[in-house]
Amino acid sequence: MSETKTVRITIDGRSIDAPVGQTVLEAARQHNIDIPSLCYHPGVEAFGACRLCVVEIRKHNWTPDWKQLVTSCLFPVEEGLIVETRSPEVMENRKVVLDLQLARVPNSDVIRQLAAEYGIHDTSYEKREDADDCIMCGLCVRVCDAIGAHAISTLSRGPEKYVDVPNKDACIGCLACALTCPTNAIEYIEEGNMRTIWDKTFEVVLDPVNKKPIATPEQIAHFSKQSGLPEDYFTKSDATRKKETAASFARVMFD
Amino acid sequence: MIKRPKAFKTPKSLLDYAEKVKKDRDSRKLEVRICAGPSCVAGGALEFRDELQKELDAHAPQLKKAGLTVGTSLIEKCTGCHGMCEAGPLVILEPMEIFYTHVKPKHAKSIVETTLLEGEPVKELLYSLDFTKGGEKAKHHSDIPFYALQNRIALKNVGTIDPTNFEDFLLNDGFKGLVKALTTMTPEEVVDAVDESGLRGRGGAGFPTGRKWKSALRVKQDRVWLVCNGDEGDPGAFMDRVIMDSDPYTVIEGMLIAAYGLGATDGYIYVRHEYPLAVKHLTMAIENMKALGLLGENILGSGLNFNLKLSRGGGAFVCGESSALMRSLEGKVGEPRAKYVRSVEKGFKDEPTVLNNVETYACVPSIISRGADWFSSMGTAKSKGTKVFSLVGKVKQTGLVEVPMGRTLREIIYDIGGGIIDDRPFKAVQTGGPSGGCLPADKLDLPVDFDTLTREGAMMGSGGMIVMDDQTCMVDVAKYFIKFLSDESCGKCVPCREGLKQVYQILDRITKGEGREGDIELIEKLCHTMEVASLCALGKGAPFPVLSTLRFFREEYEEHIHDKFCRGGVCKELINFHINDSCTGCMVCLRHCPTEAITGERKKLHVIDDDKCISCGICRNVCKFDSVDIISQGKIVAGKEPAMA
Amino acid sequence: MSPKSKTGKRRDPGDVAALEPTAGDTGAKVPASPSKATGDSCDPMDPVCICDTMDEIFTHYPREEASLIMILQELQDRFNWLPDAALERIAEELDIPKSRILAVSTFYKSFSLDPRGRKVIKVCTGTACHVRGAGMLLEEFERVLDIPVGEGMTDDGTFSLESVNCVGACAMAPAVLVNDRYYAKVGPGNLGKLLTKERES
Ligand SMILES: Cc1cc2nc3c(=O)[nH]c(=O)nc-3n(C[C@H](O)[C@H](O)[C@H](O)COP(=O)(O)O)c2cc1C
Ligand code: FES
Ligand code: FES
Repeated sequence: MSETKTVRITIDGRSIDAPVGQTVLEAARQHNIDIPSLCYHPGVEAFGACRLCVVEIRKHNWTPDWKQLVTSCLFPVEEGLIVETRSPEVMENRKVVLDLQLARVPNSDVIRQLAAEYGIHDTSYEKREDADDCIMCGLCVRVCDAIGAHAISTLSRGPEKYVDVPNKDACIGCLACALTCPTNAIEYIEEGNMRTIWDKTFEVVLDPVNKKPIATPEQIAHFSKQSGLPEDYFTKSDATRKKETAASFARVMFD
Repeated sequence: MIKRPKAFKTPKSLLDYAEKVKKDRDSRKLEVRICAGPSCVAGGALEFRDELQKELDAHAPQLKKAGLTVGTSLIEKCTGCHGMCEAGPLVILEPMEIFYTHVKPKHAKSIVETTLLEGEPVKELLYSLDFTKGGEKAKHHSDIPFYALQNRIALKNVGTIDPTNFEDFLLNDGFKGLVKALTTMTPEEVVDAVDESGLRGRGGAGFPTGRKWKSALRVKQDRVWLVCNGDEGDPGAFMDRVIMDSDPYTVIEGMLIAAYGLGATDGYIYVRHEYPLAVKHLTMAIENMKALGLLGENILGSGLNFNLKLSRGGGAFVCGESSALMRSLEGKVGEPRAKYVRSVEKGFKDEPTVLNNVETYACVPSIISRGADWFSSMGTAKSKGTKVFSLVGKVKQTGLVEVPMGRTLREIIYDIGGGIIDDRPFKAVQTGGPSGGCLPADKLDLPVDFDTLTREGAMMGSGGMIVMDDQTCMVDVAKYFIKFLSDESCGKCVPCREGLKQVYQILDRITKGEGREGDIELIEKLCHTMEVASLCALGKGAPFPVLSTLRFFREEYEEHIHDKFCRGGVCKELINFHINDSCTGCMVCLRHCPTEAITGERKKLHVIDDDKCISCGICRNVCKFDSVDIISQGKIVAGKEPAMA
Repeated sequence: MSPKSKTGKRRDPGDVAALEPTAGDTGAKVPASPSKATGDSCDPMDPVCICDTMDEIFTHYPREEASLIMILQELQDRFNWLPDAALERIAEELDIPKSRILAVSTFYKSFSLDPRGRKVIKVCTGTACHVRGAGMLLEEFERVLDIPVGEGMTDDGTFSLESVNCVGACAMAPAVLVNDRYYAKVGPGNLGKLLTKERES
């Protein structure tokens, strides 16, 4: 195999080699440079909705005062790119964006804390009435689609846009949406072997050993169908599964 | 009648047929062209046609004696929009160049008897040059400034041909550009010609078409999609609709030439769902061309293959944006994407795609047949050719006009459009649709081209020109656009979705007289973030209607906030209605008032009760004597006489 | 529409007395809940079965996601709304998750998930119409028909009211579209006549 091509870019004065095809956000994170984000998740396609990750770029062959704001979670790295993640312009817009988010979800602890980090303690705008904590980052929908359940989606458009579960039958109760939600806006209840999410209640299979919930039968059937693994693979206790996996590795090695 | 071949297998067969049709039509002495554009149809054009047909039948013997046989020497047909919608329904008689306005079914008889049989015009139907009833009449349509000052390229067939008649199109140089390209030019030469013509996209941003096509040629490709953007979301603009309705073959010819130049084999025309007639006529044209061998495999024996389909939008302004349009074509929600990878590389179905606007394609056949130099000889240094504008709002002669780039706003609004209704003072002209801006009176002498308008904070957009008089409130106009955009935002990214919502709320409170100190600054800050940090051009362009009104009409914002004064007399919470002495006591307003707020007797001055009045404005709208004034802060802001400028 | 702070008692304007709902008009072509539109589970005797219509619609388009919007358009044209049973059938035939079909049908403005009146009145609120009084006209329609814009229909099932952004007749603003018929220069003064004409045809 040929080596992956890399390009050299500069982020906040640091010179970095990044593989072609990576986005600026990925390159920065790989080198522990912090760019805030709410709608990015490495497991699903980048979306570019929350606008927190916006950074300022210049290019070495541009005139010196030519700069532009770009979405780092979408912008591909290229040779000679110069990135500022905290320029005054970037910070200013980040503040406005957080201010707007705070008006949308005034009760969300996550957003309140993030806004406070940027010096915003109360929103300059009118707060949304009866606000829930959803910031419309679309992660839940993308995750649900990636899993292949396709139970939830965004409905309507514009400021009225919201997330709902128009395909409740398809929900497998896997909690992926709730667990990826950056603002914990999707509620679920777990009690004993019962789990309720999106107003739908599931019986949960418990770990035979430690009695912790493993998965819903619907989830197990879904994953089994997708992966081709037998259903009981998913219901074993963690310890058993580990042991079996090690054994199968061993078999492969000795063959 | 000559027989149309089943299919055209060579360019020559097409040209030969066109020649034969031409000879056959030489026997035509007279053509009656009834405008069947949307406005004229709304005004009863089709009822007139039915009546005319009856009259023609009834007078058939006399007409025959005069040498006019219906169907051969006398043709009556419905065409697309003639342009001067305000004066509709319109009828044109050729070759006499007679132009009739406000035609009603009852006029069919006198047109047959007076004009067709005696060769005299029906005086009452002629166009009045000074817009008054008794004024001087225009004998020929070429005497009318509205037409005389135009130069029609994209609209060349609009209003002259019957859009459903293939032969009509063929006779007006139809497919001449295509045949020339296929027989005398290489694909590269076609793209070069479009590049040299200086044609810039007519859909909004004015991107040079040749440059777009050349960059598409540079992309390594297995398949290229060609898309025609007929979404026309700009409210107030209807040129694309009229072109698609009235001359569908020209749009398709333009696409075929592009397909040849770019090696595209498949294409779509994406038509806005509110345009049923465009869908009908384009579908008809596509089916017809397929049957005639002008679409599909090996077109005219040239080896060119091009399959064209039509797709209807679902009712979303944002789908006019190219990346959202492509998602919509794929059957998805029309959310735009960031354009870090260009659509000539990854567009429809993630394959290379070239997308252009309807009017852009409609210019291409003429550029090829008449040459790049001819096209670039018109217009300004960086904006070549002509542009179609829809001249609407408070202007006397509303309609569709095509003029060379570089004409001034004044020429378009006053010389062509005849000025402002009731000769009221001009306040602003809005260009560029929801991402455009409003220009005040001191910009009237600006030449209209892409770069000048952009520099002034307005935009060419698709060519909508909405004229506003002194009875327009600029804060209300800004609020209108923000509401529009907020309804139409896809809702994906924060600055656009939340920003528009907040700007709307601020503007709303200002128009209600609840504006606060600091509101203008808050709007400006938000607008800046929307402009630089939104994901797509809808959000990035959304601040312009607000910023341009703030730039040129800031005092109106301040008056609303500080003085609770609306000089346009529009913002309900800041105005009252009052009946002046010119009231004749006709009781009409009284009957129409939904809240029984008006009292009075026949022939006596009526009075409005402010407590009951909800400022709906109906009394003023129905009053025939201009007796209802609008008052804000004790001042008459809209009354009988033109108010303060 | 933003809520108005100025409100007042209203009465029916004199010339619209003819607009009182006429009894016996049955409204939309498809009742509120047609039976499932898939062949096997459908009762052939069911008078509101939409299978045949669906079968026919599917013959017009290739079975791929790109056909979705066109199919929804055709459904909307025929029924004036999108019955849930039809959406289920589309999901099955095109193999698209129903959640995505709902995302699409709520994103685009031309689709309705509730039954609409026999005639849909679309008042243009595009810019050209706005500066010539479309806002006032829309409010007057709301008042006279006694239904809010974008929701429901008149009690007799005849009319639904919608606002649209530009119908391309800007030169004759304010423009109103009733199903496919255009009306030019509509104002409070001639709105009554328009409704009477439409009610009769
Ligand atoms: C929000 C938005 C709406 C648009 N609407 C239209 C439209 O209705 N028609 C159109 O031709 N272009 C529209 N455009 C511009 C297109 O994205 C694209 O630039 C254009 O169709 C390209 O064709 P052209 O180069 O021939 O102008 C719109 C752009 C944006 C951002
Ligand atoms: S992480 Fe890039 S926009 Fe949200
Ligand atoms: S703005 Fe109303 S028809 Fe165009």
